[in-house]
Amino acid sequence: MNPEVRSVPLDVRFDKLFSPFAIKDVLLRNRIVFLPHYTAMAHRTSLPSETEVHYYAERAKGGAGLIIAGNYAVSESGQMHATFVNASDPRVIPVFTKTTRRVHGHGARIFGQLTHAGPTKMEKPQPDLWAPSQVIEGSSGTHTMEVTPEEIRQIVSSFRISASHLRKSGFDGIEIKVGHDGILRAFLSPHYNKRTDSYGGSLENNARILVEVLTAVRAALAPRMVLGMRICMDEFEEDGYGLEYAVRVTKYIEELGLIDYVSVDAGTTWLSYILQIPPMGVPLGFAEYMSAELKREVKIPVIAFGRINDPVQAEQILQNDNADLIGMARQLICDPEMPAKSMRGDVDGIRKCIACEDGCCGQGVQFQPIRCIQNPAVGKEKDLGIGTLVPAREKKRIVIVGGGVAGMKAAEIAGKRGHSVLLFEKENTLGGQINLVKKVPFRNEFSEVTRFLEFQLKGLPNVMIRMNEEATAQTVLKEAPDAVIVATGSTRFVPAEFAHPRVFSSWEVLKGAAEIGRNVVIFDMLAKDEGIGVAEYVAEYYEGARIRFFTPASSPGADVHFLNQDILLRKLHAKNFCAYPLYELRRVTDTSIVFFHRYARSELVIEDGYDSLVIVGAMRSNDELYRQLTGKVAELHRVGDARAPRVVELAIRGAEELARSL
Amino acid sequence: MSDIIVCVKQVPNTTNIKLDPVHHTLVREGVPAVMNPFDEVALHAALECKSRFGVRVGVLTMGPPQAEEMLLTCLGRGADDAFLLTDRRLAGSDTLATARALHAAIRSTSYRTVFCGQETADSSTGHLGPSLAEMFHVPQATSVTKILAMNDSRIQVQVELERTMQALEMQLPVVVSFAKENWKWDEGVRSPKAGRVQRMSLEDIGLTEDMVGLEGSPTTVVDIDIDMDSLNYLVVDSGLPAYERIGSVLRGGIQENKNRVIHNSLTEDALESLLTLLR
Repeated sequence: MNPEVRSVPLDVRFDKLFSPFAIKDVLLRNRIVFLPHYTAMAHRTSLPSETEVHYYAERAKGGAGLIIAGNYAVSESGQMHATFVNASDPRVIPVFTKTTRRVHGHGARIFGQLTHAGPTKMEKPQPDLWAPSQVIEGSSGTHTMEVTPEEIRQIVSSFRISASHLRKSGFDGIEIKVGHDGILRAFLSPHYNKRTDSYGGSLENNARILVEVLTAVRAALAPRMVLGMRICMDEFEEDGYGLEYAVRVTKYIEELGLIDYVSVDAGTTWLSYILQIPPMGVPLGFAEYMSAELKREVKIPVIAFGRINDPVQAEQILQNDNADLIGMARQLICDPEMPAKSMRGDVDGIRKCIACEDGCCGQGVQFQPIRCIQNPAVGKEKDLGIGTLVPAREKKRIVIVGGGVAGMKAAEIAGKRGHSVLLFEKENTLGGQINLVKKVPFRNEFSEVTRFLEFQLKGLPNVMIRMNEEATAQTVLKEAPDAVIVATGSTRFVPAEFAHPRVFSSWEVLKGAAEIGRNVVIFDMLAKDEGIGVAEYVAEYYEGARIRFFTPASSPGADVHFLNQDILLRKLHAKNFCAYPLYELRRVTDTSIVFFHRYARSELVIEDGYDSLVIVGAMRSNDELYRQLTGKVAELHRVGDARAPRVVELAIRGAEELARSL
Repeated sequence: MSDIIVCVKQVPNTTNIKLDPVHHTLVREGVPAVMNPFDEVALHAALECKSRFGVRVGVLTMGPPQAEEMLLTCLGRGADDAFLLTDRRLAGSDTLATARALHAAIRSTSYRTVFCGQETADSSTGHLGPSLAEMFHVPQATSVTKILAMNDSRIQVQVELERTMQALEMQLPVVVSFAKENWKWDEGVRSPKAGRVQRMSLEDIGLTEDMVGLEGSPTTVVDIDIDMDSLNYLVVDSGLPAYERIGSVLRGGIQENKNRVIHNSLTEDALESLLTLLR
């Protein structure tokens, strides 16, 4: 199973990243921290599940130095949703204990993060939104509930009770969230806190509840346990606080001797959501300056965050003295073995998180256990995790047709299980549609998906790849395969009724095969990533292009994860871009394009001249080969878009599940 | 042939510069010291002249007694003489007082041509070379990267400007200030018979207390802060409105930060003294 260990080809060694570090009395084996996040893995009864035990254990097994589990709510009013664990319930202790034992068993340390959701709730209609003052919560348009001093005492006491449950469960420390959501940040925020009593006004007053919480939690901890704080360094809201204020608050808390470390964080759940769970469009390591600025002001250890997915990058941050510890959430979701691989020099073997938001956040917003488009084992660690891929009992000769992600993933898993694999690819590069997707700026890191798979295939001598060869039924049958996997993908086309020399499919544009000019009309039937993606591509690469974007949906990219949609709309509206939602395409003539408003029932005719119309429309599975082979081979399977055109995640997941069953 | 004396200085070896907020000076305690990288270039060039043209090379530093270690290294590398100007009364000297002291020290030796680093890694004023040239009333060149040729009366130097390169010829003696270049000493090379470091005090160079130290220094640093360009991370200007701040993050940050400026001001006294000097 690719046991090959390579030396690091770069002139970089991860001396600092893999040096031990002590936070107070808790010694970490290295500097890699699995940051806390919503997993949606709790039961609907708000109790932690066995799934979560395996999930955290896997990250410890993969080599992380510190796991920060959570975020755990401290009361029912403090839950963002029922799928958040309520740590004030003593019934959490047995499962928590299993988690901490498993994590310790793998040599890592574990802290638990506690929070009160305050004005941030995911349910609709929004229940009581506990907040310092009554204001409108931006993301939901719901009025908050101003908490009384008695309710503040309840909050403080619920932190203390929850902390005692974590102590009894064997956690090494506790982190208090003053982060992108939650009531403790709300008290610091000028948007939320308009109080005139002792809990609002000055910095000391705004931080009073935080000081009370930290003091109460400290009293509930065993002496050797660590107490830390994760703080939003900049709200990035017009009426929010900024970096200087966050630094001042942290220094104030440090001077009171209340915390042993600080972990940085940014953004809110409103207009700056993209900095909270930064998508691919946000640069890697964008938040280094936040930990760097903080580190120059405080003496306690600082944890960095913000699209860190690479050991070289992580080592650099440490060498530059811009943080003491490196926080990662999504990178370790995507590849829990990233620390172990880095340590043994297998840098190319790391499957890097591309911050697509499709798997983890995509499920989270549906209150479903988070997943990863590249790593089907997330949430299924027991069955698909580290060490579960076993050699096949019967070694088969497997022919795979199509070297897109589905075909590559099937080849990787079948190859690692010892089957003899022959992969046909008709083009001169592997990757299929990824080769188009990666041309779209906000999706460019998708190239990592195929880079990783290609690297895995290179390390498998039992996987043969025939490039530039379009397999036919005859060539496949000539190989006398035990099993055939058809992964021939799909094709996007221009519907026949709109065929015209100036009309192109989005694929023709992304392939660079279309003369689209500078006056471009786009019609996006689907409102998914490719529609606004092709708009971004044109805006970026056709200097000065005018883009008119029509879609039957209510907004451009209506079905794109809102983090990506937000970043795209920011970028597009900075260019010559105008959106026309709720329009259907009626017809194309030599001089005009006719659209039809779904509700106004009126036509909008473009006849002021245009260079091209780009249609993001229907696709069709390339399934002829599958039909030709039906009944002619012992085992015939189809994976990926050859089944039905869908997303990368399902192609990878389907291929992995199939290849494990062969 | 004009013998060459190289002015060298010890600077803190760290990227994490700490500032004393009260005295507006660098915190040097507990920070390892190295030779100013610009001075390394000057020394290297002088030693090349020694092997190519047979001149004698001396080194001079003004600093605390522990700077002797650096001078011994210079002797090991092939310098013929080493002078340590060390005196408590020199503490607090600004660039003018420093130039005055070095000028007097050099005058007390037989050396007349001066090589120095164009600036120091810890203060970067670039004042020293030009000040010495004025005091000696000799020609000078700055931003020099190489000595091209030298004989009994003249020297040719290579000067690198932003986009062009110049070759200058000057009448000896001269003061040459060297720009930083990327190269490394071959640490294996050591001169077998290294000389001794000669110490000098204020009396030895014929100056009085009022001409150096704080008293002899017209410059007052009113404020000092870390230059954002020297930081190894990009900064987002916290003075921008939120929407633009996010845009700045998306573009990878910007270097400029409106809230932080270097205050490099001179008092009127200092300006007047400089003008008198440069008359």
